[in-house]
Amino acid sequence: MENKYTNPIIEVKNLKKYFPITSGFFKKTVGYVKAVDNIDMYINEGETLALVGESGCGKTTLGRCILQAIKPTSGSVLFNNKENKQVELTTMPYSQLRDTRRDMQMIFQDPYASLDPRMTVLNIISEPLICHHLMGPAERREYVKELMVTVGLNPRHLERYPHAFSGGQRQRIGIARALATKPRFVVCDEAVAALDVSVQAQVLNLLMDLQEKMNLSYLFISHDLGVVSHISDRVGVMYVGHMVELADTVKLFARPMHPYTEALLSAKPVADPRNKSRRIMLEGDVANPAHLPSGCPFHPRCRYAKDICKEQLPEWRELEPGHYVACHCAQDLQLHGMRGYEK
Amino acid sequence: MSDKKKKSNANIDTVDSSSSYEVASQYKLMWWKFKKHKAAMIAVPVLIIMYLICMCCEFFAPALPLERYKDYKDTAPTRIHLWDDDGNFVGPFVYGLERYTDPYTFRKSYVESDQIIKLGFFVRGSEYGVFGSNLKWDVHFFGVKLPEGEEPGGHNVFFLMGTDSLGRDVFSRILSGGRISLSFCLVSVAFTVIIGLTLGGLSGYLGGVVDTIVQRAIDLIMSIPGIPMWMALAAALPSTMSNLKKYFLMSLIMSLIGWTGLARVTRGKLLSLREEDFVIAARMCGSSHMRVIFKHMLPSFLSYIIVSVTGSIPGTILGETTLSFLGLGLQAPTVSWGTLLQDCQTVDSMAATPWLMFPALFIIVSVLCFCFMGDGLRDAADPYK
Amino acid sequence: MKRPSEDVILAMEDVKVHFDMDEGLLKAVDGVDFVIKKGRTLGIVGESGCGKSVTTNAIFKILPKYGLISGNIWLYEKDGKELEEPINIAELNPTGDVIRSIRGGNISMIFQEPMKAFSPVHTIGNQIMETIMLHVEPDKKKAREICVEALRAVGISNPEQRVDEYPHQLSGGMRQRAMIAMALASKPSILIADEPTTALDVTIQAQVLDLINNLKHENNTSVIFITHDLGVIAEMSDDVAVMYLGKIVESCDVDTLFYNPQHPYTRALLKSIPTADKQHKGRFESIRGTVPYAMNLPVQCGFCDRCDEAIKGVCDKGYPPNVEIEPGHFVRCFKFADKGTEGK
Repeated sequence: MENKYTNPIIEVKNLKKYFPITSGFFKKTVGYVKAVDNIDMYINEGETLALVGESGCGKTTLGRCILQAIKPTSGSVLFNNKENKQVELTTMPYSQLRDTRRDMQMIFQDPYASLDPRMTVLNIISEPLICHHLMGPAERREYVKELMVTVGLNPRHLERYPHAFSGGQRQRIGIARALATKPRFVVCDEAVAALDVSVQAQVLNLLMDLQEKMNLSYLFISHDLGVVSHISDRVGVMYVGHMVELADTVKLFARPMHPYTEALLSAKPVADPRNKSRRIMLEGDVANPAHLPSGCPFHPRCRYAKDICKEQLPEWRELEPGHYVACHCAQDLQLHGMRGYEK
Repeated sequence: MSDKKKKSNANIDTVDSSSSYEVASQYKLMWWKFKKHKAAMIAVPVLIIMYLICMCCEFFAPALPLERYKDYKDTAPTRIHLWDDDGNFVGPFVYGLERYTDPYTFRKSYVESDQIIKLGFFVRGSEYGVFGSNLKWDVHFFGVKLPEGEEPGGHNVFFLMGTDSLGRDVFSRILSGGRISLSFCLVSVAFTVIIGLTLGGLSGYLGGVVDTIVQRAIDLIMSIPGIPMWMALAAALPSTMSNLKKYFLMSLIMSLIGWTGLARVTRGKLLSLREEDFVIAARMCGSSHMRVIFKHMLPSFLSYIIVSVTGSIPGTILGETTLSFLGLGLQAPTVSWGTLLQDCQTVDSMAATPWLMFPALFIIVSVLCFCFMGDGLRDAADPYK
Repeated sequence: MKRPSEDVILAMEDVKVHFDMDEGLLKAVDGVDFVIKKGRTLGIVGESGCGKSVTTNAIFKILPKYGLISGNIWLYEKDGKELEEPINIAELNPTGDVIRSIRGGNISMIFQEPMKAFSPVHTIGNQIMETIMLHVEPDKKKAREICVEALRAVGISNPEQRVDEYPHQLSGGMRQRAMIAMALASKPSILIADEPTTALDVTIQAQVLDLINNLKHENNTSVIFITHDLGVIAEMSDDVAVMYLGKIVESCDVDTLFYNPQHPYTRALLKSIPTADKQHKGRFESIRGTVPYAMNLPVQCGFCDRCDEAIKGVCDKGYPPNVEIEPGHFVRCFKFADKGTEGK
């Protein structure tokens, strides 16, 4: 499975994003919210890497840092551009970054907030084309119509405004906009979280079809393990700004190596009344990213915590080929995966 | 794959029921929502009429604001009749006025005589320059029908809202004062918008030190009590200054104090818009800074500014009136609603000549109308809820 | 109205809630029947806009002014005692004494957004005590003790201190616990939970679901659990009602729903949920189209435009009957029109 994709399109190294906490009359910095802390990962061409985690774990910030929507504090993001050359995004000048944006796009969570309500569908979808000076107006119109058919919208609704569409249709408009410049890498930030179950399935199918057709690479950010298990090739699990585990989807669901992953997998309610899950109850709440506990950020809630966990931040290591984990005790633990995956 | 494609294509609804709602732009939706606000729908035409009348006040007023009827001081409003004493229909007319002195109090007042003075539309009256130009004209919208050859200013008089102690027609002065008062608030708000948008925009867009300085300045200005501040600034204006200069300086003073609210709104809206998904989406599409600001942020921001500005107009009208009433703002012979009210500062004059309070009525109506309009605009500002 | 059986506490009979809007008549709830039995959980599941929240708001009589309610909502038990004459909640004055004593006393509600349900300017303790003093114990000191105990019961650590804190000082999960404490402080016989875990993270959701289940067993409370998440339904409920466009299209016990669903909508819904045990990288079975807007709808089965099994000339020509195909298993579909006895 690991050998299916070999060419990394995105490589993230030691990426950090600290938001300063200011207070007082002169807004002095009194601390930092470590939204993203020391992340290492890569995404191969044509694959889907999913990021899961609870709210506030920094998965959205990480996605935006990779696209440079938010400037990361430090670290590097390497992007494999069209000429197959690795370029550094974090230090790229703005004008060059704008050009590179043709190849990387984003789909947003909220289909209501992400479309400018004052623009027609035609204008929304052709926005990236106008910005990159691609095509003339007439040609653009035809192309937008084509795109609308591709994402399953009626091309006759070209002149309508977003308020005339349902949530699922709006999300399709957002997808069409993201795909207008034929990108190679797309960040889907909770792209289906706001949709109803039946519509969610439609949009996920669309995303998968488009990936096949256009050889897209996805960074799929989600909190829904069910969705993730279907759509992704590899999964990264985040906890308050730290990546705690990253592995092949099947491997991670079948045999997780981090106690947090185990708890997350067991907490998801299973739609099967005869098989009520044996949950691992996590004590307490998610740690506050402004005041992280010492050592491993997960240790106050971890039932396997040892003394070392309170003192030392665990190292990010590759325990098995392609299976990364940040836990002191990972090799000694026998953790349970999700039912249906365990064999 | 082809099977899947068929399925996703089936999602397109085959009927195109393109109703107007679906292709309605933001301003159309705002207009539809605004129309639902009944008070605002009444207020807007009232305001338009008021502005039109005050703009052409020489034409609509029967007399000129500074024209004195020496024989008719402190006259009460004249009654308009349609039928004469015998019950015959004559059309609108007034009776002539005779001076009457109370034998006990020696107080002078006027009683109606038998003389019938007919009223009419588009009548000849005092000559005035059209819009202040040299082009002379003497037709007034309504007034007394002067007999052929008679000059205005004689004994054929008619005072809709009475006269003041110098014998000047109050109604004509109100219309003329309206021109100053109603335009003053627009000029002042224009200054406010310029200062507020610039400083608020800089504060929100640049952030950092600029933001801190502007915010602290706003705090400072907001903490200064209004009237003493105005007094100090108004006192600094030399009394020899021309009326026009004074008018603009006064409005500048008003906006120097009034910009803070607008700056706060601007900054807050900018900050929240910057994080709005569709703005980030525009940046992700590769839009330049300028395009993001002018194409995406400004339009969604404009409606809020319009609301905020409309909301601040009543305050400006009242501010100007207050200042002029206190004798700090515009001064006679400039006519504004505030200076007109100066005439009824004592209880005495209020009891003897209550018609001098008519300007207050116009202030109330215009302030209410602006409030209703602001209300309607606020409801309509965000049509996407 | 005769009580159907001993353990029925509340019965809905053909309840309709229509909203009279400028644009037309919005049939948010259009003829809903169900019963709440003692100590059991009824799960109501459906997509957004199907009327599941409006249904429970009707029981609570918290509808906007233009909401017209018809049908009967019979309440058979009040304050733990059987009523001689059942109360018809649908006919009560929404601001009257009777409904006020039922609200928060006999029937309590937990909302999706705990932050919105608490007033930010009063302490948690004061707000919970208000309910207690109104329905259980008028003495302030004793009410406070009950309040502390209630907070302890929902697993809030250090309740003596928490009782004097303001809502914003608690985390999302804590707030939801506090709200459950408030809802259960008056020992209600029915607890309505309207998407209580949708705003919470998975691990916190697991805590809250467990808590609701434990408290339900301890107090023998009946629960109406509204959610769009079929996983939560499977965990929580004994009986399930599937709602679509203001109507209950299928109702049965939870096991039947997941192992022998009959209505095309239920079946499609079950197939479209992404469960982890289906294998990797598969396609989803989706339902085409979207839920129509419940205004000025034609007389037809609400699902027929999206249904793969729709029969032309039948499904689009009238409302399908509600048929009891097996004891306790009702389906509202033309396919079963002659396969069982017609239910009410």
